[in-house]
Amino acid sequence: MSDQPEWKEPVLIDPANLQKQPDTESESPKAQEIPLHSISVVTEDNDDAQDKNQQSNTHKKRSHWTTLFTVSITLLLSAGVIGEVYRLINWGFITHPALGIAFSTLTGITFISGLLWVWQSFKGLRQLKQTEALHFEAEALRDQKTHGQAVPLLKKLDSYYENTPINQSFKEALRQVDSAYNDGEIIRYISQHALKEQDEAARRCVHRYSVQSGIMVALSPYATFDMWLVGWRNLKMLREVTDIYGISTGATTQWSLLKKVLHNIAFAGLSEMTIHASSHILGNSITTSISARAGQGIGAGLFTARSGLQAIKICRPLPQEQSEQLQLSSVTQSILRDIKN
Amino acid sequence: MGLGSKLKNLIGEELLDDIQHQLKEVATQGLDRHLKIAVTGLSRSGKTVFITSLVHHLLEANQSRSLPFFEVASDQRIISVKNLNSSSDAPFPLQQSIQSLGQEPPSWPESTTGLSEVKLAIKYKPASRLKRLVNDTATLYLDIIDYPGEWLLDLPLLHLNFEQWCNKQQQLFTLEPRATLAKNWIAAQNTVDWCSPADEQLLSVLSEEYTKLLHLLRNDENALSMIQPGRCVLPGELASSPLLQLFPILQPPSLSSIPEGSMYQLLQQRYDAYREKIVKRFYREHFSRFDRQVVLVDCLKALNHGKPCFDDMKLALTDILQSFNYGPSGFLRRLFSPRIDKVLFASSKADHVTANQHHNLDKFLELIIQDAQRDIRFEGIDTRCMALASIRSTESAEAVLDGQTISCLKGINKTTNETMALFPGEVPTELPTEQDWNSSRFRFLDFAPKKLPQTDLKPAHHIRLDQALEYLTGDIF
Repeated sequence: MSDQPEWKEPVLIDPANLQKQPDTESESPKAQEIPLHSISVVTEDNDDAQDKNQQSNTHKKRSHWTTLFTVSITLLLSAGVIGEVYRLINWGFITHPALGIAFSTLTGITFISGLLWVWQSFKGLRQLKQTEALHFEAEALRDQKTHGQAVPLLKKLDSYYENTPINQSFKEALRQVDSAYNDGEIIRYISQHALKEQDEAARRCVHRYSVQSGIMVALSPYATFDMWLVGWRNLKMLREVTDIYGISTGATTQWSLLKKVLHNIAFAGLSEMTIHASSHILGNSITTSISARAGQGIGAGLFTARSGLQAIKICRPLPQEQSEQLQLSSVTQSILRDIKN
Repeated sequence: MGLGSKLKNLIGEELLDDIQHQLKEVATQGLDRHLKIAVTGLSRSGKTVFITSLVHHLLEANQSRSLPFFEVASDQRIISVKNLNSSSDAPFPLQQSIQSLGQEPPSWPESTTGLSEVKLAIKYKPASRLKRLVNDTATLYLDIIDYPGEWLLDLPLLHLNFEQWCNKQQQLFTLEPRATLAKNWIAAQNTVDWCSPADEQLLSVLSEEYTKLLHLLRNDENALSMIQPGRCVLPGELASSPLLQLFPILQPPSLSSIPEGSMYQLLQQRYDAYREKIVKRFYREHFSRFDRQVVLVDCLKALNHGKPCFDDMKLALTDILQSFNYGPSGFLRRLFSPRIDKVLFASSKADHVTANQHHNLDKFLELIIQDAQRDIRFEGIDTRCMALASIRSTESAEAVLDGQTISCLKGINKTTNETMALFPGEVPTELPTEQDWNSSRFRFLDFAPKKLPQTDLKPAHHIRLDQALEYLTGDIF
């Protein structure tokens, strides 16, 4: 029988001593949980470290020659290019100073713009990676009923959206978050309200491009041409979607996004497959009533719509509330309607 | 003899009534979507305030943005909500309730003494494009009834005959604090010979004593919930009816030797009549046809009053919930014999604890309703626990105490009318031990409501009312 109770006693407090509550709440972890927790972490850490060491060792061994090859060929090629450019400029100066100046400015411009381009796409890649991490964190928090654990995520989101047009609506949503909300509710609220305009714009964009690619495929006379059309529209759509969500668009960003989107579509769950099948059946019934070309157009439109929705999912730092199936079916219906007309 | 009465004789009055009722409902429900929500809760659990706040927020849903988690409202798809109260026989006193909450200083609405109903017509734009092709707008009719929680405790009587009821009550009266409080009444009862010829005088004296005892058991100090028969404490339109001179016999004589016209037989007849005429009618007319149910539980009352109150509340809720029809309900079923297919257990007055305790409140609520929830889940029904406050009466604040920052509540005390700040203690997630109940571990005080404006409602005026609405009705829109 210990006299020390485990719980805090209720107390009356003089209202004058109150501080207005900010959003943060500090939670003190219970004393007895810490040792257990740290022990398990330590052992895990050890295992992990060993695993990592082993992995990196084997990795190094495997890729040893590859790295050497890459480094040497890069060095060789860049040395060749630099030498060639130097000779070109030199030759220009010898022939006529004006030609030499023209060559060197051209080289300078190419170099600088190339650097900028690389930097931009790296920024985009970094943003995508950040988005993925935030998405993961938010997903974990979404079903939590705890208090105060969403604060670090919100801070990260705040810095993520700094200097973007989304910042304002994000701040607005953050201001409206109620003090009684738990972590899951905060995430859901922000997800629903901060990105409302972007979601709407992205949905419109996806819809537009899917209908476009659908109609183009339906009208194009050559089958080989279709693929290029769909690819072209898809890439353009991806660029627009990334732009809407404030991720800087570069070729590398686009490339990695495309890879992720295709990966997601390829490994889509069973539920999506069934939807796809059902929309195919729908498409088929319409195909028989209109024409085979229109049916193909609908298929292409659906593919564009799916990759667009996947892109939205990847570009959003917060998980979406509305289920993808619902979204896809709503987009599908409008595509059907537009192509039929 | 007319055809109607012939039919009545042939099939039986009850069945005919039922059929008539159902046909009428099918005729109206076939055209539009109807949803009947049962707001269940013991007395003083916040039913009236819940209904008032819900209806008020819904009526303002197209103008204010007070329900962010109620999708149809936050997407601004609600065109308008109309109150159809004028067509009802017993309209819910919505205006009075909103006024008493909106006046200066605001006060809680009066506790309910009779039956009343709210009917709302919600006109909205359907979410799916397919439905929008058929019709631009759709209407949902929402029915909610309000009634005194005392009457709810009569529902378990439907499954019990007099003998079973007496046995149950006998067990109940062996428990503390009932046994001590009812000592005199039990003693007086034990002197009576139940097989002797009926003595109206004696029975009326005993039943009067019993009614007094029931009032004593449910007062603020003892706060027991299992008060049967409910009409004895709140007779409504049945005041001074001989049917209410009813009480259980704790030491029943052996059943084989009950002579005609004895005390026992008279009480038994009264019990049967009470069950048939009052409880069954009440149930058939108002309680058998629900689609969704919200069960409001005042967990803080149980925490404040200790184990007997907790146990009694648990027993009462479990018994009550057995009286409802649960089962999966599709479109046709909803038309012909509705069953409850979604149950929300809500611990009301969540604003009386600090926000970080809401999760614990959920867990504690699960302790109270675990038996009932198990049965309901077994039927394949979707259930959920939620801490909510229909009207928020406190603000959250922080205070530094002994160098430690604790979150606390700031509000106006209901009894003293003074602004106060309180750290009300932590809600336990497990049943507290005997020691804890008796100590000063919990001090959940009642707060006076904050003013609820007529228009321009904000999410800060409630806690999770929008999520409750979304859970109960979200799939319909």
